[in-house]
Amino acid sequence: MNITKTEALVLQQLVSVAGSQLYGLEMVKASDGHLKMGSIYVILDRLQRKGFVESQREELPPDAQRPPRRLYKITGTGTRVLHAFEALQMAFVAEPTGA
Amino acid sequence: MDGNEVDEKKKDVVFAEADARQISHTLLHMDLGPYFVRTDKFHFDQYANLSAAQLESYEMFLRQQVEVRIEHLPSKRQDAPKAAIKLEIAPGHTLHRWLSSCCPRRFKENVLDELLATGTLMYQEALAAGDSRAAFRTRYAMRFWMLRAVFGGFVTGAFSLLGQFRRKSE
Repeated sequence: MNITKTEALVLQQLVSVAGSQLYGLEMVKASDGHLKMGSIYVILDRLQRKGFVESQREELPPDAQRPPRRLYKITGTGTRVLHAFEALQMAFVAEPTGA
Repeated sequence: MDGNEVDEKKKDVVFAEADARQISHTLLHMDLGPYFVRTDKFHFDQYANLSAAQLESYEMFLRQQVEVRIEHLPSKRQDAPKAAIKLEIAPGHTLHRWLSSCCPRRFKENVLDELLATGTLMYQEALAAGDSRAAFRTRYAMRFWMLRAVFGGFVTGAFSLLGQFRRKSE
């Protein structure tokens, strides 16, 4: 299944935390401006529909002052797809120099 | 205050200018879950007698969802107290409610709700840090994020459908 570079960037962020969960805002902050707030949740929604990412709502105390956010975690399929994407990219980059 | 008047005040910012000796206004935001449920009525006489400490504790009571300010505005009547109360409810929720009504449920839950939750958190953090510029920026940025997500999603969806149609025809 195809993934875009931006989707791969999101998956990389989730792989980099080694199986723990991240908020969308944390991914935006860690991406050095490559991910935007207006698009991160659209990308995460798309990745969720593809089965590469799963999410759950954070648990807040009843007197919390804000709505709960979602925590995102990469799935096994997502990890495999990212590795395949990275291998493909490396092969694509290595090919002209080897020729 | 009759029912029609209450409906007209279902919006982000409510201004109520002092008229004679009494002000009353009602905020109704019952459709946004437990975080925004507020139905409040104020009377100018009660409000004017509150001390600064009481006002501060009242703001805490409202859990930062509503900013309470007193602003001095010119009044039409000479004998009326020259004051008005401005209530400002958590930013972005009106646009969120409007966009939610015309978007699929899944998109609302996964994108719009997240943007509102994250924006509210950033807004509260900026307010808590006393960074009024960041708070001002966030309150308008979150509206931009929601609009961008919806219209960006619409354009992407349209291109995706077009691509599928083209592949089928080939």
